[in-house]
Amino acid sequence: MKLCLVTSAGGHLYQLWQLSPCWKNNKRFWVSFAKPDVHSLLKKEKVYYAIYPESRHLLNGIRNFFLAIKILAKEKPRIVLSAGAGVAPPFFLAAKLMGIYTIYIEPVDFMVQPSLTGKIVYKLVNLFLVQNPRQLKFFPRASYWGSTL
Amino acid sequence: MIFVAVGTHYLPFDRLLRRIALLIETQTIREKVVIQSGTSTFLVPKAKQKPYFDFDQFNNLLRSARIIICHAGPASIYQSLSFGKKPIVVPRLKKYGEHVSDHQLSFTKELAKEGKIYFAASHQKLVNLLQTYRSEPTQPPVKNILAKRLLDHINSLTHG
Repeated sequence: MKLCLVTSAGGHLYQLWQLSPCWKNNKRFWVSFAKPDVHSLLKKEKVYYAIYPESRHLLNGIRNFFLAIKILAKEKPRIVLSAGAGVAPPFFLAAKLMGIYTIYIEPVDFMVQPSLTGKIVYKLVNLFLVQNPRQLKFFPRASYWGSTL
Repeated sequence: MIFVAVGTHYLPFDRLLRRIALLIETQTIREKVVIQSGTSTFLVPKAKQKPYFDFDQFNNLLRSARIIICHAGPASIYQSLSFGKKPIVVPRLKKYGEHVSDHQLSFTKELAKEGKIYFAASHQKLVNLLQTYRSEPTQPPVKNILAKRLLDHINSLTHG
């Protein structure tokens, strides 16, 4: 089963990295940005680079959507998995249109308000996970299965 | 050694670095200071400063630091805790152009309420925390139940 792991740099990458028990034995590739922590942590992984900056950047969101179509058509993953941030919605939208299963994990640091990515993808993804029961207040139909950290 | 980490976010965090410079100048800090400064442009005198360290170097710095001062990024905070260090946290704020929202502030307050971190809400508070810092045992890392459940779910999709 091939997985596509889509992530911004920083804490999003770190939280997805903590989920290694669920991806390390599967065929996979990553979509991220050419940032130092990505180069360091993912040096042995297959990585495609998305268009940056992505945070609240509509034009790059559109560009990343077309990039997503290209990458997903070529790689044909079974699942797209992400913990944000702004790089996730275009990839989830492309995955949805192509019938690929999608999983989103709301980052642990959005305890008091929902993330923008979470709000955008809430009704789009097949499985929406929160990492703290308090986050269910913003996403009542999400599932809480524990935390990455 | 005091290790200061501002994270990898694309916005700078010069405000924290200026505070560190002031603390060194006024001798509130009298030991070696190493700084991971990201995209910040302010150069702190008398400190070792690099924009980024690779993963192993970063872990070594967390391991050997006496005190960690960091922005409120989950990776910086939880990595500090995993090395048994309760970090002093200065959250990035939107009004200073340090982040796109104020979620770091609310995250910091929640973790401080849970006793997991020290919240330096002002410069004076940062001074007080540094002067009175005692290392405290940190909680052991949370067992990764989510990873296991997610793996089971992914495997069920293969057979579905």
